[in-house]
Amino acid sequence: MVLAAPLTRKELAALAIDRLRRTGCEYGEVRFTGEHTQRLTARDRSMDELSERRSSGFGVRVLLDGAWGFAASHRLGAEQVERTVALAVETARASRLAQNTRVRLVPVVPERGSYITPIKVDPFSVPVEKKAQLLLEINEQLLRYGDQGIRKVRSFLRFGREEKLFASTEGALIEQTIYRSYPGFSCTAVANGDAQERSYERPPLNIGYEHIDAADLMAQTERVATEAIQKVRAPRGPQGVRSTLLLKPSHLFLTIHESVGHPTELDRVYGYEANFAGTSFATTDKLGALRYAASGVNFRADRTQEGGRATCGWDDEGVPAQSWRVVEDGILVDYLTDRETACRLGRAASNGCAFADSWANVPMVRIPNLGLEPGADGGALTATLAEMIADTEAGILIDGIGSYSIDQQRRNFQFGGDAFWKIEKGRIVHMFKDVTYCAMTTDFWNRVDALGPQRELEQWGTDICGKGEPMQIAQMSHACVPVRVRDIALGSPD
Amino acid sequence: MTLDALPAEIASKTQALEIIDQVIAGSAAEGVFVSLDGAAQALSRFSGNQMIQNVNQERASIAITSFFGSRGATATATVGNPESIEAALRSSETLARIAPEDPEWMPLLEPQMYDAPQAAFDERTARCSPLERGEIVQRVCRIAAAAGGEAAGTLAAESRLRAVGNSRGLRAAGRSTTASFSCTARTGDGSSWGEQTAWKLGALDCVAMAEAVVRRAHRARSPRAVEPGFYPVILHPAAFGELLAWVGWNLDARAADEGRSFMSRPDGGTRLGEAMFSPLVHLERNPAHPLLQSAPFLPDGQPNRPLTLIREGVPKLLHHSRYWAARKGCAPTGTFFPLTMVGSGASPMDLVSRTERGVLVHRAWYVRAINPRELTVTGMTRDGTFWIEDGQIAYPIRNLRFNQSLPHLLRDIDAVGAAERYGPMVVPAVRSGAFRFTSITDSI
Repeated sequence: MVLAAPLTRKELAALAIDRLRRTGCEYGEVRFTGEHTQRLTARDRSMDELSERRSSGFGVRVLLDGAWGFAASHRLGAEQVERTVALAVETARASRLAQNTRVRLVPVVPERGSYITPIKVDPFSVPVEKKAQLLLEINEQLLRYGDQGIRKVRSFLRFGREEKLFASTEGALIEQTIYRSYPGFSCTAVANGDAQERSYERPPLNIGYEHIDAADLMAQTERVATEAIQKVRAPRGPQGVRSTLLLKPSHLFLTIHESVGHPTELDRVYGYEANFAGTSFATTDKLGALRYAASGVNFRADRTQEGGRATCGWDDEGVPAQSWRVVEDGILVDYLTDRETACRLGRAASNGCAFADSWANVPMVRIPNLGLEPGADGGALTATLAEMIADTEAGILIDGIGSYSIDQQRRNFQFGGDAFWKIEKGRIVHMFKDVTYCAMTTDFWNRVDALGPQRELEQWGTDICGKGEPMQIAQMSHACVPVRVRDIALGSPD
Repeated sequence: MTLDALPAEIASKTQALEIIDQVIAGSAAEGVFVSLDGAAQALSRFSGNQMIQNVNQERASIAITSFFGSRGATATATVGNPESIEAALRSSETLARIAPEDPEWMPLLEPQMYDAPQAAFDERTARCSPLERGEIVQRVCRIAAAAGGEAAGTLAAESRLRAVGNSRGLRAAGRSTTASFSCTARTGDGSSWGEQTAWKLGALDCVAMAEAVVRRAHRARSPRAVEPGFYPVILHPAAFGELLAWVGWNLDARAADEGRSFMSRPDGGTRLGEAMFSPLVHLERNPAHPLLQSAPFLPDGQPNRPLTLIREGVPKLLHHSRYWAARKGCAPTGTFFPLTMVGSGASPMDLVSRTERGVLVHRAWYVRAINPRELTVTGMTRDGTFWIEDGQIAYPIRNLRFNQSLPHLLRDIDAVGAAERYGPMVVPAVRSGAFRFTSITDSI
């Protein structure tokens, strides 16, 4: 008996598109994804986690009679593709029962092409022994400070390769391969009835193993351990007062993420997340008018930047990667869209923010790379971090991220940090611990009075942005410069 | 390895255990642990009184951990074909051979005895069709629209098959179902939310909940500002559950012994046995709770039996991993999941009627730890916050940020209501004497 060779993914995609077209739907797409991740975590002298994960499958989304249906399966094969298409169509028909307004999409030119993250060293080509050894050496260096109070150390490496094949009934056929790398470590000091953590990371980026600079990681261990020990013995930060804050990019990126990224997701603005992640204060009636930030402050979305965690060739609806300003000279000028929300806004095209975190999930609007542009050369706000410190009579310098929380419409936020220093008369005086600050989004950004220059731009970001039901985890960069913000309320825990 | 075919659908415990048997038979390692997880999930999502997303997901994955002496590594793969499982097995072996020796390695578990009750499984929930979900969402959206509100929410159904086994002969497998409905109603500047989770779809009363949520959204309109400060608070079960989960996650013996936890004594040792909390706080791990009926085994194969964690305000037990238990000479506990807290017969409104003044919170949002050593958290109220005066709900108030020590919250509890299921937990409404609200927001 001669067995037929299994169909390739492209053949399966062609089959899915053919079946979708036969339904008479307005639009249909299929996305095959194969994801390979490698995780190493060392805790003290133990390799707590050494794991590889491979996940593959496909998802079919159909817009039929103005209503969405989606179905996904891990089983690859012609029969399963046909069943999954049929289930997606059945689901779209059921959606019609509760559909008052037909969903419409802005047009996109169907493209055929491919994209691969430019890397120098494939992270999966580097021996696992070498990676494990690096983490255990980092931990050993940190544990040398045990007699000074370091009680717990942790280091990690994360790598990923994601292969996507996207095809649509409009004729798109796009293949993309995304590489990801992310290293870091932390240690906890215990003293005087308290425990405090200090960490160091190289930000999560779409990049190869060249991101894992062992010499740099090892070189930071002494400083990080020493700062953890200083931090646990430091006085608590002031509370119930207002202060000037100097925020390093390693900290500021998360403030940008929560207070600029999420409020400008257009699906939130339209209430799609009202039940879970929340809506937004930045409603469409304010577009072009809302004074979001101080004059001279610009936020730019950019899925084309090198190394960005959300950088790609096309989004998950086949829309080309783009770069555009969301806030220009302090004014809200644009949103983050997919094809559906762009159509509701009356735009001619989407700016390409659709993202699905796996084959099993549906694409939705996600924050792309979204950064704070450096101060203009010679600009009124432009100053280096050293100049900001020298120019500050009293304030607090914050590095790294700590606790973070923001209300469901993205106004009231409270952030901690990883390390804090008191600034007095233009000098760093000593560390604080347990500093938090609380502000309203537009009030905070309008109090920015200094922006770092281009040479202080750092490409930080996150790999754990949760949104949607079922919950999806997205990843994005927030390149930014140091800023100084005046007159912000401080609060510490009791 | 002899696995040359996979069933089209891994639908039974027997099928799952057969796959595990075959993986173990094909292993070249000194020890191997296998975990298989298959799920079919469906979720309909609505907003603005109409469907915005409607998904069906089918997935199955296998995780294989191989050991050579104290060297171990895990490979996980989608269970798409025999080749993917074979590749995962060999990958775990390759990684384990080159892994460093683990000073905290523990031998594989011996076969375990599990309690008799199996996880609850409901055929109707497992087979819930898109049409059935669509009809329910349609009714909910019509209720909201007729009442002048806008509804957003989800209706979800899931069936799951989980099996574990190892080369020492341990085996466990079970199927389960879960259904949930959540709904937010917005009426101009009023908002309200509710959530129900059960092991069967038939236990959800989506229509009644939608009607209640819409009524409360109307009552939440025109909220007034209340100055931040310390106030008595009544936390609905969902709001309390968001906070209590942080307590459960931090009841860890190793962190306490190492001085990193709110359960650490300043002079060393732990606070087990101290009367830290209100005598009304009685916290358990209870997978057999009638509202949960979850599996009698944990993902690592350890039994999941009822345990008392806090009795009448006194912590009795901390989570001990197998390694830490061996070091401390006590029994491992397995993870503290699911958490259940004993309630009373009182409804949240009964608690309100006994309250002179205070704040009623229906939902806590974006709760994050500020200081793990003290277990202080921050978060926001959301979707229905009210001022209580003279035993009545007086008026809606604007949402508030809180910064609150959780040990102090549990210490100051002076009344508990009836326990309800919230997600994977069972928790009561509680009243606590002095909750610390620190700032206010205009967000609805």
